[in-house]
Amino acid sequence: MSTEQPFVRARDLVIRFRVKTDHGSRWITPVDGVSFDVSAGEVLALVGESGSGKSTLGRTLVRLNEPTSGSLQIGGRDVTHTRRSRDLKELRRQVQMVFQDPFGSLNPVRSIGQHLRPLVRKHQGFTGQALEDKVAELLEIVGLQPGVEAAVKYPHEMSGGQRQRVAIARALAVNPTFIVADEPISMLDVSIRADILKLLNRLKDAFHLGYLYITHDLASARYFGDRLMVLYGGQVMETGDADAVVGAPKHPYTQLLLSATAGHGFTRKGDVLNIDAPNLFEGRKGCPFAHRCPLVMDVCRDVRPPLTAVDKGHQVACHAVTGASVHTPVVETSPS
Amino acid sequence: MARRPVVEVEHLSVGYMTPRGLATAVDDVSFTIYENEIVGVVGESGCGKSTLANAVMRLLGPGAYVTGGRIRVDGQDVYRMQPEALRQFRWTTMSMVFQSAMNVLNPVKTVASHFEDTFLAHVPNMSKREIADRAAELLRLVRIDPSRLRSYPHELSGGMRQRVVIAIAIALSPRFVIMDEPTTALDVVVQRSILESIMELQGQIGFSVLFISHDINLVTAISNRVGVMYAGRLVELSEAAFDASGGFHHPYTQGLLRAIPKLAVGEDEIEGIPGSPPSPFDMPSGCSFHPRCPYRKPECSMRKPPLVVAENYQVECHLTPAERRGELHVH
Amino acid sequence: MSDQPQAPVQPAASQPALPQKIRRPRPQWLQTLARVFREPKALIGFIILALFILIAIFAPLLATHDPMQEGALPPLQPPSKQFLFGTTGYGDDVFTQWVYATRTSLSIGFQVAVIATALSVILGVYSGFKGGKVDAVVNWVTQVMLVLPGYPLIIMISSYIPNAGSEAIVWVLGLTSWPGAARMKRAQAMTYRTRDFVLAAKLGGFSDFRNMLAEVFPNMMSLVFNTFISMISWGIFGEAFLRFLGIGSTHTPSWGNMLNQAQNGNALMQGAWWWFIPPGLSITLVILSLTLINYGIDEVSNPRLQKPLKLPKALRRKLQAAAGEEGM
Ligand SMILES: Nc1ncnc2c1ncn2[C@@H]1O[C@H](COP(=O)(O)OP(=O)(O)OP(=O)(O)O)[C@@H](O)[C@H]1O
Ligand SMILES: Nc1ncnc2c1ncn2[C@@H]1O[C@H](COP(=O)(O)OP(=O)(O)OP(=O)(O)O)[C@@H](O)[C@H]1O
Ligand SMILES: [Mg+2]
Ligand SMILES: [Mg+2]
Repeated sequence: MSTEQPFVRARDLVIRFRVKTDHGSRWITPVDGVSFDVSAGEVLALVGESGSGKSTLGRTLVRLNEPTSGSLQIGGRDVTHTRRSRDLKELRRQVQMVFQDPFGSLNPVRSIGQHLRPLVRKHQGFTGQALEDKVAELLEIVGLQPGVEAAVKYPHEMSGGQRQRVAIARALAVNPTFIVADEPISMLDVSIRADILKLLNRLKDAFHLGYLYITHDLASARYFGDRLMVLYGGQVMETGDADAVVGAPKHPYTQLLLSATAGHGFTRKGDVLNIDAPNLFEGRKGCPFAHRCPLVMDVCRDVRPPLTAVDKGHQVACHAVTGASVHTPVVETSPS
Repeated sequence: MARRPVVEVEHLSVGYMTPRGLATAVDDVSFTIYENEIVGVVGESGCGKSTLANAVMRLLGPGAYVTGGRIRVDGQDVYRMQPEALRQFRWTTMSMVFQSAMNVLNPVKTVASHFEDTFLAHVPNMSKREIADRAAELLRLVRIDPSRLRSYPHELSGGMRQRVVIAIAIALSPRFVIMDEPTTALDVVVQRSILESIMELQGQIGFSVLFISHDINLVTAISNRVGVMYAGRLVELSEAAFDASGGFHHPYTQGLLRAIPKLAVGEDEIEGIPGSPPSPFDMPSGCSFHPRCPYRKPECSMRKPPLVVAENYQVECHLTPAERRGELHVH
Repeated sequence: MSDQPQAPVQPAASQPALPQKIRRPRPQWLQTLARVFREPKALIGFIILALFILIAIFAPLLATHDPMQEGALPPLQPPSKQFLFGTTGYGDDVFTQWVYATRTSLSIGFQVAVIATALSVILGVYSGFKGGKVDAVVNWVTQVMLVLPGYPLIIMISSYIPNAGSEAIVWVLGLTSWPGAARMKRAQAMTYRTRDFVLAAKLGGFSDFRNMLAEVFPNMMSLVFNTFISMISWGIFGEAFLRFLGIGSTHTPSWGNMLNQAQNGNALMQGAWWWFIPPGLSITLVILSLTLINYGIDEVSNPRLQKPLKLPKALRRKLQAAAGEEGM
């Protein structure tokens, strides 16, 4: 694949869910007009608060969710509305996912070997002793030495960190080119987190893997991500090189997040104005962060700020930063 | 000032009976939690945090034994209560958010019916209407739109599920809540804000939290005092200093602080603490941390460290404050 | 399989010296089964059941008389050396009848259990796991079956089949008894639908059907086994019940038929206790043994009911002396 064609190319993705409420059902849009590219071998870190649509977006890349509108191209093929199971399998051969909860993502009654063997057999065609060797090799790649021994264990005999390694091995068993890692370290011990991050980093170089790395922690996002995308209320607030975004955040939400992150002198009180969840219901207007924003202006409540470049490769969606008057053309929020 | 203690734990020891013998998971731990206070407990996986929490709730599983000590909550000895009284006491006076909070919700029940179950178990004559109102109020408290009451757990994000569980734990306005790694999927802003609003709500009655986590930054940011556990012992208990790097005293605590990726550009490498925690059957002599301690002295491997109590911290370590300070600065 | 010698072609240099004897643990459900056998209650159950199964298997060897020679013996003889369990009012040897009846009743029980369990698993697990339209239809059928009154239905169907033999009864019982079990399995399977490990398997490119069999089903083994055991009970009881009411062919020797004959022959009035005690007691014992087995499975598969390891006595005494309390 040449460099000019990104591996993942998402344009104006919108994902809606119907939720039941006391007044009948309504639609929410946890992902609302999100566009991004990820090249092969690149790490895009997706940061955002709980419920901002990170997992929903991640699961869309493996098509556990279907976009309502917009377009999604992966590996040069349009997979936005793919439904045929053969095409979906083809997609999932390229894109795999590592889940957040290492305790829920392994089947308690199957041994580690039983998790990996069918996958390696199916996707890499090994059988017999070669299959056993391949499984052991895979386990050793993710740092479970000796692999033969790890393969006969059951999930409950492993610690959280070890399980997460197995989950990573399972994703690798398919020989993917891209991995969606949904908060892979947030449920792990701090001292293990570093090791898992390093492992992901090593695999990236060894197999030329690309990642969508989902996290709510800016520090690890900067450590692992090449580029960073900040999501709030289902919309992109800021995106750019990881160092640029963390080094010189432009959006008030990014700044808030940063000030709350370790090593930045978290102040104990008073800096969080109003932290009600953003309104996700369809038909909302303006910037989803407006109700909490210290820089809020009238225009913010009515007009959705467009993503505007402030620097090379650094874009921000904020009227206060980019100047509202310049961009009066209204950007439609709700999908038609 | 005379602060009223809510939880008093004295010389608590808990062990698991295993085929290889009694494995001590909590070893002679004492601490007090006062009214309106958040006490954080940090430590690596397996150091006994959940065991401590379960012991306080008297919810230790089969095979776990309290081998010494006493626990009083709101003045009552938890281990001397009758079963029915204890059942009422739990959730109404003390409650707990369990570690696997994300998976404890029943996948085929809506959020609303989880609340109904909780309320009806303790306040049988509450009406449906009252329950719904109270549940909506609680959801708002944890920053979830009350219109999501009719959602099923899989329709919520990971962090939202954790928040629902927190809301259920405080549903009956307990005096004391244990939170065992409840917010792994939430960012610091949301965590702090949820805790703050809970504290506000409980302001008049008084409300204390034992907050368990392995993330020392987080714990420092949200609690008044921070306890550090290593291999079953409470090796340090300090006032949470506002800038996390200066306030801690035990070398292990310093190691925990370094294991976190830093934001400052240039500090790219993260270092874990070399080595791994000891097995309960193979405890090092003297101070159990000495094989991994960068500043160990000969006597560390010979004698158990004394408990050093200072004005706003206590620590179990052989190193003198000067040694700790001097060495740590050099490093 | 696993004790094959290592393939010699393996590059010795690249691999660290492999520990030769890595024990591959038995699959978990097998381990569970092994633990069930270690449970005293279940063990008693298994022993009783095994006795009856042995009697059923070796019926022709055990029988002391020719089952075909009906009515040739002196009627109403009490138990003796010649007639181990005495004779019936119609001149049959009770022991011989009982031995063959054991065979019939057990085999009916097993057949009913196979049919009902299979149906409940296929319908319950698949519909619960798959959801959507499949689920809606299956669930509707289940609900309808559940509200139809069981006994009258069975009696009605059976009495429409003239001279219903064993097979007919098996089908009637098997086809009417799955809904309750299916509903239970559906409820459990539904909880697996959104689990991460199931999603991960889906991402591995496997079909729903495979995932149901390989990922969900093994998690439900104890429930399935429970159903199977209770369905055997139900099959045996149901058969006896129908026969006792005189439904179906009275010529097959079965516990129910024996009871029916004893009833018709006024065994109780004539004090011929040996006529009805063997079948009656057998039914009770088999159902008891199956219940015990089910208890055992519950106890083993439900960790809450498992017995913890006890503290050593010495330590316990020391603690009590020190007035420390034990947890739970
Ligand atoms: N299947 C679904 N049906 C209905 N609503 C859904 C569904 N999946 C997700 N949502 C909603 O979409 C929103 C975003 O959820 P998502 O899981 O993407 O958040 P997230 O950013 O991953 O949060 P977290 O950090 O807590 O995991 C939430 O409000 C959630 O309730
Ligand atoms: N049921 C049990 N039987 C035997 N040992 C146990 C049991 N539960 C916990 N342990 C052991 O007790 C020790 C403390 O466990 P605990 O769950 O309290 O750790 P933790 O600090 O909560 O760790 P984590 O951060 O992983 O939750 C560990 O060594 C663990 O292996
Ligand atoms: Mg998520
Ligand atoms: Mg724990």
